[in-house]
Amino acid sequence: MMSSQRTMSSDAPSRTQMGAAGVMPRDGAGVKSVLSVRELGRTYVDRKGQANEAIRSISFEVGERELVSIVGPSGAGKTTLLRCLAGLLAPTAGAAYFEGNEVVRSPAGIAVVFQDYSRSLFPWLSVAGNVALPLKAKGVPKAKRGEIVASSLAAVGLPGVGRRYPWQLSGGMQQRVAIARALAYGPDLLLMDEPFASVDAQTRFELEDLVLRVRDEFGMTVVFVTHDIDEAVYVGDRIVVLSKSPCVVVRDLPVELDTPRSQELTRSDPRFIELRTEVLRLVTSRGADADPSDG
Amino acid sequence: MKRTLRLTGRGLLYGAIPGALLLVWWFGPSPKALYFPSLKAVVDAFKTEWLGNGAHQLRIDLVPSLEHVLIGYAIAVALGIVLGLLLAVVSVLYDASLPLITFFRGLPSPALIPALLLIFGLGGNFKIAIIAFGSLWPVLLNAYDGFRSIDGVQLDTARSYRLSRRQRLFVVMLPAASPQIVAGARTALQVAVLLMVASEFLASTQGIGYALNVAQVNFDTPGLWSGMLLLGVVGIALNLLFLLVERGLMGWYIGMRSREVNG
Repeated sequence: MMSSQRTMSSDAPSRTQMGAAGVMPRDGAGVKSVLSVRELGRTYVDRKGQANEAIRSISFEVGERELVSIVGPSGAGKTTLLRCLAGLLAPTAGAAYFEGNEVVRSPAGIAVVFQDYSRSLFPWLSVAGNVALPLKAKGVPKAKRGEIVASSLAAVGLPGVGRRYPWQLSGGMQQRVAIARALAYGPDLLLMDEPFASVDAQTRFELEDLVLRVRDEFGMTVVFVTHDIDEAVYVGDRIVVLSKSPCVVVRDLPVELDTPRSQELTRSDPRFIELRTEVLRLVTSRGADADPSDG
Repeated sequence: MKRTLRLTGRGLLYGAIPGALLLVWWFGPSPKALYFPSLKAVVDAFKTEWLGNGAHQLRIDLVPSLEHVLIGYAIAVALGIVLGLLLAVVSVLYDASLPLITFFRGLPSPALIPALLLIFGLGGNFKIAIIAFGSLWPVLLNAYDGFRSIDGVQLDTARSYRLSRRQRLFVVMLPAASPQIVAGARTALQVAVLLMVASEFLASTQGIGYALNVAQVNFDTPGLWSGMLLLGVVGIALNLLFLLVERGLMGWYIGMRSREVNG
């Protein structure tokens, strides 16, 4: 059923046996690279001609079906980075490559879940209308669209809300709709920009588990941007730690935790605590002990 | 039961002042009062002048008036949206045309009547032109504002899901700007009705404004007042029609707003 919509993706190999997904080589060796970021930089020039460097130089690789967390202090330029990866913003140096091709404009096969669901879901469309929109853009026939919309909404645990409007739902439910829309699009790469920053803690836990579940179910590669260190460690197979703006990669860490993750067990795992302490140290350090070559 | 009582109470409250005024108007003025005829005289005049002879006069005057106002208004709304979009998308165009826009929107539209009269002549086209011209500005400026203030996240979403140009325009931009377009269109409707009357008043051989003018010249005060009564009815009807269309198109916005207000 759900796999039918993925026929448009370039290739859909069966889920390779990765064992503990966390113990993947950090440079993505041995796994096909889905996203490759090479010395990407972004400098804004304001009206007075003053250059403002948001991203200095960032390089990292994301392997197939990997979930990479990108964590950094507030204002580090994370959203700028994500917009560059999505092709919504052109980098001023370097480039990002998606499945081998340089990212320009918005390439097919990349879906984005934005932080502000209340702004990214269109309030004049019903929930089903919102989820169906990318399918319409793709030219999926109507009958097929209905099927995919229903299964996508079911996958995020929201069957039967299709006829309602997004603003009639709670914040957590709205973000689920945004995720369902991304799933319906059938992407190879899902970019998430602080997706759970504006929901309560309980809902946040549920949504983190939802992302992990649909990633497995749909076989997607995910880049998950967050400023929440615990969240980055919890969902990530790997963590790319960014410095303050103008940001560079401070460290690229594998997350060696058991899968599937569990909110209770994982978060009380000593390795989890050790790792989050390490990431916290890296994020709060002024970048003095940052080793740019480490990226 | 309680609800019915409350509604009746509210109805009484709304009806009290107009009702009292109508009573005073009906019984107050002496039947011979020349400048201020009683409501009874006005209603009689309305019946004979407008509804008499199979509503002959109503058809002669009201139909062209409505035709002009609706066509002129429709042109203004359509043109206002298209130009507003164009100016919002091509910012150079906006900068270049700002002085012109500022001039024309500041110019009282009735002042253009003589000039447009020379260009279009005395026919219906002149009235349509003046109505369209005058009611264009509120729509254009609001549409411009609406298109300019579309949320960047909405545009990013449209782009990242690779919506076609057409889809971006009709599924995202137009609905996103629609609350402001509708606000502009509401103001424009008042302007359109005003210009309908003014154009008929100054240069016409038919229409409600013309009938008012004739009644005034002939000291037919009941006829004059009956014309005003008719204009009031037309104004209310047009506003109701507007509300109806707004409800149909903007149900999502009304629902969303009421939800925000009520928490």
